[in-house]
Amino acid sequence: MSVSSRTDIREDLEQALAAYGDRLFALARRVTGDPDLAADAVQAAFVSALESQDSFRGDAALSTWLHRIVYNKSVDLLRARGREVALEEDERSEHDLAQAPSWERPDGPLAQAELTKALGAAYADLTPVQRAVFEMREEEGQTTEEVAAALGLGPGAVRLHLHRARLKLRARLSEILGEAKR
Amino acid sequence: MNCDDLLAKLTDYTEGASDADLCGEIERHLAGCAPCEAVKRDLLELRRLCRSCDPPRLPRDARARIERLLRGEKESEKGS
Repeated sequence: MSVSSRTDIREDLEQALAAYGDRLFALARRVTGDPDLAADAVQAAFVSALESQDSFRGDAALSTWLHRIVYNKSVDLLRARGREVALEEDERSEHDLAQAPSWERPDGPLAQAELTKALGAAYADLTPVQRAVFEMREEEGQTTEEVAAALGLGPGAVRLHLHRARLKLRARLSEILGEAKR
Repeated sequence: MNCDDLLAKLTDYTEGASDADLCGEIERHLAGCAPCEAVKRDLLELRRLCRSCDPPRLPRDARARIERLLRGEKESEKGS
């Protein structure tokens, strides 16, 4: 969705909220790990979009712009609230991360709910940018190029963050679901 | 190609960002290395899991506040 003229921005933002407000919330929720903070981040992002609409480049997709603002607001709120978050990358090598055994798939009627909960907990090991990249690429299904444009990164950096995020989530899921089985 | 080389290139491979020669090397390694094949399978399963989950819904009250904001209605907005 592109914005045709500045006078349309409120209407465009209303359409964006209806079309993918849930996805913006999902991004904020993954980055902050907190539903209340995530709702505040999405609201703050729309306030910011209205206030800074002059800086919006109409050739970019509105969704790209909004994803970027939501990500930035989420990180700002995390920092402002002094929430503990892995802002820096840990030192585990890919080799170390890959030593984790395959995660055991839970079975039974609650399997999907258990997996979803475990995945939410496993996100705590990721840095904010890894959370955003993983959410947008793997959960939302955006292309690498779309994620790169939204987060102001190059495609190679997106793949690098995605790679670390995948290996860390796999290792953490292996721990969480392994403990649940015991 | 050893296991560490494979691990370093695995996401580029699954993202379609590796050239044909490298893809061939990776596929030969995976065919003969059960631990690396298991990691690759887990990562693809992780993607499948993620895409099968419904995204969380933006809470109704937050959505309503943003809609009022976009309609230009006056109120004391949080987070501005």
